[in-house]
Parts: sequence; structure tokens; C-alpha cells
Amino acid sequence: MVNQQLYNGLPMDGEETPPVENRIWHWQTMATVSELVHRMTLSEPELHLPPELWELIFAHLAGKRVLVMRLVCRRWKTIVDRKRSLWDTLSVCVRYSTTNERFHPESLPPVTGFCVNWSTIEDVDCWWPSFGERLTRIKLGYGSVTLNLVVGMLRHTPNLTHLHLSRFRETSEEEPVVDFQLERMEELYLEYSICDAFVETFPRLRNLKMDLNEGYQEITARLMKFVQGTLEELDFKATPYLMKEIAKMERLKLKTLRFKGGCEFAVQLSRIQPSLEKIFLILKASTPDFCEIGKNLPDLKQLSVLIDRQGLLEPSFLANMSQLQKLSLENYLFTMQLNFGPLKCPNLVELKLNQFHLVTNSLPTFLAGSKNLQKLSLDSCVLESLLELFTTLVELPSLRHLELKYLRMLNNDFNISTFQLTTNLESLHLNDCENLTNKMVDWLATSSCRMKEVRLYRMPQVNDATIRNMCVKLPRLKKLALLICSVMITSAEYIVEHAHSLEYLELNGCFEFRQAMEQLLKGHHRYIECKFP
Amino acid sequence: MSTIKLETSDGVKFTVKTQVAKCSGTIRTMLEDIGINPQDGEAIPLSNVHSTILQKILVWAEHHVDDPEPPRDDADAAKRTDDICSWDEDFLKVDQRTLFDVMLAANYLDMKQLIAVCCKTVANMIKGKTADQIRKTFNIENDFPPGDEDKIRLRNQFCEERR
Repeated sequence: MVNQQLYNGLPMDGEETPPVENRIWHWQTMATVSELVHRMTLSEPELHLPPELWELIFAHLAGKRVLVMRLVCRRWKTIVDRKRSLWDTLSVCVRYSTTNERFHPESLPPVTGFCVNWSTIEDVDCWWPSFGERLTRIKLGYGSVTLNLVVGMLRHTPNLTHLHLSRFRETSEEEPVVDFQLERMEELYLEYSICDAFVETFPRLRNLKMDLNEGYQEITARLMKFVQGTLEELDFKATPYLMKEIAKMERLKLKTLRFKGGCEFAVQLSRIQPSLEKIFLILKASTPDFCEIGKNLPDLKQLSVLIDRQGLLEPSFLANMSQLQKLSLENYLFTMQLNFGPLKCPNLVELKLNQFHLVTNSLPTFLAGSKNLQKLSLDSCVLESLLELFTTLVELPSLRHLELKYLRMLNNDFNISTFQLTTNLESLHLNDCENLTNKMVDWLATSSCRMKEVRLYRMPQVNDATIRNMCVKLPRLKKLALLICSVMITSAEYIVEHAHSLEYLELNGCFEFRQAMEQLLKGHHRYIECKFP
Repeated sequence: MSTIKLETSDGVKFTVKTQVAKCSGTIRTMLEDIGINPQDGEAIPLSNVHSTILQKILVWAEHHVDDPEPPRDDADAAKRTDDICSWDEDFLKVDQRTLFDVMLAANYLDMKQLIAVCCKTVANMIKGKTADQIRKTFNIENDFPPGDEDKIRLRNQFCEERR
């Protein structure tokens, strides 16, 4: 009786043919008793759950897994296809093609994104309205399409929230007419060109990213003016004209700014937009400029700067940024000396430093008061010795993620065997740290029983013994990536047998290695997603 | 300590601590909103639940009776499947029929936490498997007309995950 109830509970999509799941009813009326007995003894019949319970189960399996689930049977396909939230992260992607050639779109999966790259859109047919209706994101990059066609497509995307048009050549003889608005649009990204017709199409934009040349600055200013009441995030190239126009926008209250351009514009923006909380700057700014920015922006929570200067950086501006939670200081061309001195950032959650030579004891002293720090990333940095890293880690029980790339140490006489290291790390990523011996890697990786992810890239000193030790000591290890490490095939066996929680493994190995791995997984009835780049 | 009586579909009567029975939203509503008086000695009929399953569910409820309310609106936490506590993991090491029956009964009894942990268990049975392996796991018949599975597979290839 229960089963009958369940069968009736599933409303079907218009496109779907009725399910064959009235199997019990079907058997009772159509099948002979002997057939029935035969079928029942053949194998255990499928056990049924109502669709709402399958939906709850599938909610744990988003992403590409839904594509597998819709292949299982018609019933599952119906349940998966009509549950919109399962498709939140999936897009239909077209590359190196024209939409005419490869498209038989009447049965495309019900994704929420549409992505076209290096392709020509010649025509979208009658399939577009029903496909477009579900879309929340469209991304057109490097290709060509007529502007009239873009307008025609957007007309049928009332749920669109994100639109990216990058280097998509909209060929058009005449300016199209846009007689509709997309009220849900939140994010617009334009690279290369902007069409006058779209200035008033997206009335509630929150995020505007533009990489346009100066010829478009008047249209840009009109677009920004139109959405100033809702705009929170802006990414643009500042020009004197745009700065003058922004100063006139009384309702504009930006929270996030991404910005390439002269430092005077950054300081000027911090004066007229005190609501800013996050800024990402690519500029050659001086410390006094940052001091003023810090003073002007009392709510600043995130600062990310590409500095590219030589010499010594003493970031005294941090004293004016007491609310800061994320700080990223980067150099690409030069290595700078960095001395935090007595400065503190008590609210810091993430710190990223790229290409700095840290003055002795500067890092542990700076981070000693940061009780909330969760992520530390040092890229191409020089430390005095491993002792500094040790002191830093010991003082930071809140730290969950540690990333060290190209870390160099001036002095390598720190003896790890005299220090027990205990951390709460959940992920460790080491990339080309030649000063770290095999023992030190082991010491870092096994310092926390919470460790879920270990990535070791270009660490030839890492060998089988390290990997074995990790498999045994890290019961929660889910992801393991070993690229350019000295790992033999015997380790693979050890990993499959002992790393019980492992779900993902990245190894570079030869064809034999790959084959052996497949055999191993089969033999042990394990599924581990393997990648062999 | 106050108790109430529950009667299962096969006529078995259980005497249960009221607090434990209230893990079920359905019973809670009966007692609090509809005003069924447990002192009457009348058993509450649970016509969709068999005694073997109710017994199992009561063991779970007894163990979790003092659990705090789970935090709401935490979408990421809700999607995880690796946070099943070891007691629950052992509790749900049963054959598939029992697992599904527990789920159906938990659904009928409106026990959100038990449903959630069952869903996670089933999701873990699906994770990492191919469509064919999933069919084997759950004894599902491939009922697509010939060729349809390949067509769907072909369309699936257009799909990519956003990061």
C-alpha cells in the first residue's frame, strides 16, 4: 500500500513520458503468477523511497555528480532534472564551434549557466526561450555574435543574475533597441566593448567590472550613474573624467573596489567613498598614501595590494586599519624587505605575502596577537630560519590552512627532533620548498589530526616513508596531491589500503602506474577520484 | 516520569517516555496541538510503522533525546556527508531494506535529524559510483529505451562545473 502511494506522488515534467514505475500494478494485472514468482526470486526488487526523500539525498550530491544520477533510470532523471538547486553550479559550455553545428538543444540538461568560448553564435532557434528561462549566468568570451542576437537572447532570460561579455565581437550594422529590463541582474562584466543600448537594461546591478578602453568612458559613466543606488562592487580603470563623474554620484556607496591606476585616484576614491570595506589595488603606492586610505576608510576589512617596489617596506599604515581581516601584500618583479616592527592586526583572518624577505622575528611578532588567523600563505618569501615558522604556528591554534611556496630559509640549523609540533591545520600546501627536509615535511604534515588536504608539489625530497607515515597518522585525509615527489608504485598500494577517508588523489606517473592504480582500486572496492596530470 | 503508549501497524504496543516520543514532530503535534491526553492510557496508533522499525527508531531517539537543536540556514554544513557521528554510523549499518524503512518511518514521524543522517548515509552510497554501479547498489532497473542513455550521456558532456 505504501508503495502505491509513493508512485502517485511524483508529478512529471511535461517533456517526460509517464514513468513505468507502476510496476507493481503492472505485475498484478498483466503478469502471470509464475512470471511474478520468477521475477521476485531472480533478484531482490528495487526498494522505493518517495521523491521528496530522494531530493533530500541528492541535495548532498551537487555538482557534476547529478549528471551521473540522471543516467540511472527515468525516475531519477525526472527527480534530478526538476530540482533547480542541484543545477546551481552547472553550465552548458560550447567551445570552438558554432551553435548551429553541434547543437541539438531540445534535450540539453537543465543547467543554470551557458558559456560560449571561441565560437560563433549564428542563430538560436526556438529552443532558446525554454532553455534561457532557467539561466542565471551567461558568459560569452572570444567569439562573435550580432548585437541584435544578443538582445534577442537576453529578452528570454528573466532570471539572469550574471552576464560576462569578454572580447566577444558584437557585429552590428544598426544599434538594436532594448525595450526590456533584467531586474535580477547583479553582476555585469564587460571587456573590450560596451553597447550604448544596454545602459539602462540592468537596473539593480550590484557588481560592475569593466575592462574597456578610454573611448567608452562616457557610456561607462552613464551606466554607473544609472545603477548608483544598488552598486556595491566596482572594478575599473580610473581616469580623470570618470573620477569627476563618480564624485557627482550622490547615491553611490561602494563596498568593494578593484582598481588599476594611479595612486592619487585610490586616495581620492577613499575620500569620497568612506563606505568601502574591501580594496584590491594594483599600483605603486607610497606608505603615506596608504596611511590616508586607512584613515578615510574606518570599515576597511580587506586590503590586497600589488606593490612592486624595491627596498624596505614598513607597513605603518596598518596602524590605521584596525578592522582588517584579510591582508595580501604582493610583489612580482622585486623582492622587498618587510618589517612589521611592533605593528599588530588583531582581527586578521587571512594573510598572504608574496616575494618578501621577512626581517628577523618580524612574522612571529606580528602574528602573535592575531588570535583569529585561519589562513597563512607565504609565496616566494625568505625567512631567517624554520624556528620562526615553528614559533608562528605554535602561537596560532586558530590556523587551519598553511601554504608555503618557494620558501627559503637563510639558516637551516633548526633541529626539529627537539620540538613537538601540534597544530589544528586542515590543509597543507607545499610547493618547491627545497630547504624543508623530508623529516620537516613529515613533521608539518602530521602536526594535526584534523588534516584533510595535503598538496606537495615539486618536493623531490618527499619519499615513500613520508607518504606512509601520513596515511597512518592522518585519519581524516581526503585529498592528497603529490606532483614531482619521489613516490614509487608501492606507495600507491599503501595509500589505497591505509588512507581510509581518501576521496581524491593526484599523482604524476607513467601509464603503468595509472593501470596499477586502477587495478588496486578495483581489488579493494574503493573509489578514489584519481588525476594523473 | 510521564510516558505514553504507541501502537504500531502490526498491533504491538510500546510504552515510551514522553520526552523521547516528542523527538517525532508528528507525535509532538498530536500531543501539543490536537490535545491527545496521554494519561488516558489510549495508545497513539502509528499505522504506517512496523514494530521492528519503531523499536529501532526508539533506540535512536533515546540516544539523541538531549541533542541541541541544529543550527539553521547553514547550507554548507547541511550538504556535508562526512559529519555522521560514529554512533549513528554504527546504528545505520543495516541492510538496505531496513535503512529505507527507517527513512520512510522517520519521514512519517517527522524526525528531521534522523532523516538527515539517513540521507547522508544513502548519499555516501551513491558518491563516486558510476550509473551502472548505482543501479547495482539499489537494484534499479535501467528503464531507458535503447539508445536514450547514450543520448543523455552525450548531452551531459556539454556540462561543466563552475568554480
